[in-house]
Amino acid sequence: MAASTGGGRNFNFKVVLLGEGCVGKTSLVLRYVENKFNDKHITTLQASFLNKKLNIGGKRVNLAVWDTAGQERFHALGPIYYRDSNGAILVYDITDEDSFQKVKSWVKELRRMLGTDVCLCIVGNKIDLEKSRNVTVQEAESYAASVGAKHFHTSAKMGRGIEELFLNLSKNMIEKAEENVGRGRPGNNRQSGVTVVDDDTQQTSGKSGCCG
Amino acid sequence: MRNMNCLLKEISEALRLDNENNEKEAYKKYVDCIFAIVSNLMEAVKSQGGEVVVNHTIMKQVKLIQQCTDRVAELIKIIIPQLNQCSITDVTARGTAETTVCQTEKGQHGRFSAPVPELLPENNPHAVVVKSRSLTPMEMASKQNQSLMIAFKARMLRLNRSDFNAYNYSLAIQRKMMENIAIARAQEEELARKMQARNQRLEHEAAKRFASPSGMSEDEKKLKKIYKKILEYENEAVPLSEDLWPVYEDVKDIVGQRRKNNESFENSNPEQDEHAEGFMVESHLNARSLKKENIADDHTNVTSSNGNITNDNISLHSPTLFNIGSDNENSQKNSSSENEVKELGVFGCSQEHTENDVTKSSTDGQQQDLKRRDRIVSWERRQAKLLMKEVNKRCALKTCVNMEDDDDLDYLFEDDNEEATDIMYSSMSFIRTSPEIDSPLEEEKKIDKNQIPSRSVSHEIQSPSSLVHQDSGDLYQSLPYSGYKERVSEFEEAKKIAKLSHEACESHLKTICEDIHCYLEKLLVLMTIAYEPLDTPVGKDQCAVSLEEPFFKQLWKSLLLLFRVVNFRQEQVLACVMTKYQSATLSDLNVNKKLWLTSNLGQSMSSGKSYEKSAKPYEKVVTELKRVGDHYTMLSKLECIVKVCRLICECVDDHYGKSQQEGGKKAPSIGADDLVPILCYCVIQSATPQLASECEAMAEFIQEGYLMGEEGYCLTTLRTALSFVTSLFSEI
Repeated sequence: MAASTGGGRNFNFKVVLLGEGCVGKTSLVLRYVENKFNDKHITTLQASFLNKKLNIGGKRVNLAVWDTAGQERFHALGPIYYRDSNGAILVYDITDEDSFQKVKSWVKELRRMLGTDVCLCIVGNKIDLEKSRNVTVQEAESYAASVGAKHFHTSAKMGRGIEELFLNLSKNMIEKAEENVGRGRPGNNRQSGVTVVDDDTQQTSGKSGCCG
Repeated sequence: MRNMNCLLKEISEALRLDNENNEKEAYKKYVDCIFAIVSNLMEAVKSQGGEVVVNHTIMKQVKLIQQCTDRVAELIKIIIPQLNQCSITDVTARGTAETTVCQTEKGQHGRFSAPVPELLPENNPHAVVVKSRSLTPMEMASKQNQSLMIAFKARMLRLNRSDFNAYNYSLAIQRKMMENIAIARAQEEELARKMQARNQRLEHEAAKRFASPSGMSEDEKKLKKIYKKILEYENEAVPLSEDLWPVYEDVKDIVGQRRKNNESFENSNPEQDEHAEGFMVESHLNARSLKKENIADDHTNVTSSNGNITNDNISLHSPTLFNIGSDNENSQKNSSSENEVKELGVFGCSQEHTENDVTKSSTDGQQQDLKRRDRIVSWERRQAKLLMKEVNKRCALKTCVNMEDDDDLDYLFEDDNEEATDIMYSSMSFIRTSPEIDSPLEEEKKIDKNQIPSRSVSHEIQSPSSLVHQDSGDLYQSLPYSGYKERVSEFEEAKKIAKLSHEACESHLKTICEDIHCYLEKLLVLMTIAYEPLDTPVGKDQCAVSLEEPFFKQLWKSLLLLFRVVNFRQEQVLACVMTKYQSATLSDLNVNKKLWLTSNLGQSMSSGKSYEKSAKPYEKVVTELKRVGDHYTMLSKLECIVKVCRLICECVDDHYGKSQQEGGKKAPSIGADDLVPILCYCVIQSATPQLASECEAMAEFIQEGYLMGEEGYCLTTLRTALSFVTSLFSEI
């Protein structure tokens, strides 16, 4: 049930949204929702937890997008957020080199915890601020390729590249799920989920301020 | 209400009349007594507020009423011929009429006696089974013959014995009776043939349902058997009261009872006892009385479920069977089907209760797991046990042991003894060691109890080291001997005990969780067998939801306690942090300034209301968060948590909605970046450290469907907030 149900017709995917404090994760999701629902004011939790039904090539996909707290001080609890997730969107701010470094450490952690079953998307946000770019396109894309992740450029402010990002990720996850079914691999078992490994999480005890 | 003496007097009066062969007067007197006793019994129930409490007087009265009704039935038989003699005309009509009266009287008597054991369920659980099947042809025929005989005798009384007609009558009646019997026999044979044919058909159907090429496992065979019984029931809407008892046994087997349990539930008392010790974590002050209550509870559970499966439950099945299916499609809940589901659940629950500890290892699959686990924990347990014994011995030497504690210790010793003998006799030691695990558990529990008051929000903050110190100090205080504190070596020892018992608790909890998962799964399978339309993902979800309420309602309190014992340390830390940060503001927790929800000074127009609001932002959330503990099913807890998260958004919206009217800014959307810190604030404000254990339990038992959804998200967020708050401890 965790990965997909049925013979490939209905899919339930969990996608975690990772990224440092001010890279615009929440705006990304909001923009994605608003595009569809015409700026209807959001009163529910949709900014943090989004459930979205898509129809991709006749396949019904249910996306559950989990926003995570980007602040350093909440990282120790990362694993319980991304256990059993099928995809991860790692957002960095193209004007902020640090946020890109953070993405790298997340990629490492996700790969260690979830293996290759998880689809990774690295997203450079705020391309409307191209002028003050600090992370080069080439660096980002080559890194993404080296860890088997897709790379996207988006602008939450202008609503650019977001539809594409989610659509592409969904397709990726469908492929992976079907591949797994084909190989006869069972979906992620609940009990076999993530166990917290201590070696990296120790460093997060230091408290760091956030943008807010 | 007449008292006992009065009653006894009346009854002896009735007996006197009876002895004097004054039947009618005696009859009246008896009936009067019966009435008096019945009203007494009613009164007793009412005075207990609807609870059935059985005491000596009630028992006595029940016995008396039984004797009275017996005697009344006898008297009626004597009175009838008298009546016959009085009015010789239309004797036959009267005769049969009186016979029916007699029969109904008897019937009532039969029904009368049924509820009596209900008052004493532990004495006679089987008595709840009321046979309500129709008569077989044979029985019908004999009934007919009986009434024929009565009519015949009545007529003979009127006729002269020497009359030739009498002889004729006698021949005719004999012939008629023979005929009746013959017809009945033929009918019965026919019926038997039909039954056999049907049985074969059902067997065939069941085989079709559970067809598998590679033969059937034990479990599958049993499922098939149950399925057949269900089909049987559906075919004829006759309650299979007797037949279902074996089914119940089967169900038990499926749920994991290897040992064939043919004894009545009376005999399973020790098991329940053990279970009560093994599973229920009682407070040490009233451990004993509580234990008794638990056992009694178990009893009523068992008997009620017994009753359920034999009459109510099964007899309800058929009409509502398809309701569930269709309900499901409409995703609506039908109250009757729900009820039924509940009953089934209760039944499962009590099973869980009675078998939890005893049958832990019964299924083959589990056995290996168990052995592995056994090996891992056995060393610690042995150590813990040795230490416990030593401690116990020592404290037995101390003179300052008060009575109550003495009691408690005795009981610990009993456990140990029981365990020792058990180890000798049984290789499967784990099942039996649960009491042993519980003795440290009990100790820990004491600590818990003692600590709870001191853990309240007002208590002082300690440094980590002093916390440890106090903790162990409390351990000593809670143990029933004082002079202990001085010796350092023993201090070390006690620390070790605490550690080991904690480990034991952890493994105990783990096993119990596994069991609960396993039993829930099995109950689900049973349900989908009984109601095939539910065998879809949606249907299964529905089943799981329906199972939750009756399942966890009984378990939750004890389960939570166990979780709390295991999470004790975290809760303690949380309590410290909560106390320390009680006055912390949103800004202290680095919440975005936009979300402080303090009204601007410039907007003093609506100062009254918004001032109150700014005094305590997110107060609604805090109140809701405190309510999580009031729910006892995972689902309602989760719903509560979702509501908490939504309320945060609502609070922000409300605030900005107000200011927007006054020309303020639009409400910001709450992403996780803001949600988590706000939740941290609310957690601290709520001052309920047991949230940590609640969350642990929820995370353990949340259904997978919900894990992915909003419920799962909110739970994860709350857990994040909790562990963040816990981590603040290092900064104090």
